Amino acid sequence: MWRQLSLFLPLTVILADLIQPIPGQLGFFISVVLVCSVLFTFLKDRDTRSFTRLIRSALLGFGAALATFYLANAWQLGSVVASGITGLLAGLILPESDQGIAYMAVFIGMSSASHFPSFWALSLTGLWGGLLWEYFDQDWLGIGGKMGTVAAIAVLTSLWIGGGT
Amino acid sequence: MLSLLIALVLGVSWGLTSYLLRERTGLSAVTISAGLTLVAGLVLPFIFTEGTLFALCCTAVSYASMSNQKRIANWQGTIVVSLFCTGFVYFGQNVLVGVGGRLGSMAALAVLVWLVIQNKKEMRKTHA
Repeated sequence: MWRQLSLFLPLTVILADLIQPIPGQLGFFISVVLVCSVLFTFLKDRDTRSFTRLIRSALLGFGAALATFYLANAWQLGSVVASGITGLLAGLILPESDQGIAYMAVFIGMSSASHFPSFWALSLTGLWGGLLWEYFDQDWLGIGGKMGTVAAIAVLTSLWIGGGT
Repeated sequence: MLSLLIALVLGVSWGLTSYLLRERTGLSAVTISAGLTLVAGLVLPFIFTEGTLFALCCTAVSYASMSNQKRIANWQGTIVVSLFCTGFVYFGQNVLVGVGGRLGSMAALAVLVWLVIQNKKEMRKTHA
């Protein structure tokens, strides 16, 4: 139930932003609860959930987010073109089972440099996004936009925890 | 007003192209979406003065079009979802600027609205 509800976090933030932005303290609280919930689920399911897969997803998230962010900012290609290039490479190189994680992380890499002044903060968000992807793996199956939603959750929680906006 | 109209036409075109590519080629959803995103990002800003905004709309539509056949079964559904998605991005262009995943969330919202409408339709059919 909590997991299903947390998928609506970005949409709630978008709607709230139109009226009254969510206060940072509330955001921080939501983020901490979500992090604890993810860790608790992984510990609870440690017999059924492959640890290797979690690491693989986190690393894929790290790499794809960093690559997109680098292309968008260091090469100044802009986030749309950078995401297209990285996503296309992921689609052509990676096996289909890994493409989803990589493409989700591409969305994280589309974040603005004003939110993530350093590559490391963004890369950590990519790692976190990979873990979130595994956490939400059985939800919203076949719904286009799920990847973006998970990416937005990763970015928002990172910003709230890091004290950003 | 003209700008919105162009955005809607482009959004629907991107949605239908994505649908056709998914139907006619063996390419994965990620490859199709990324390819369409790349084309939107490279071409539209050079054609239109508001090309960057149109590229965002088309990018979001390409995300929504990644839905599987069970969620969006036909081209009519693709058109409706593309219209919703373009509208959300167009009118929500100043919301959560710079937050990665924003476009995907709006795409998800468009698909969810479409699913709710479909469910209501099904329920009405069952009751009739």
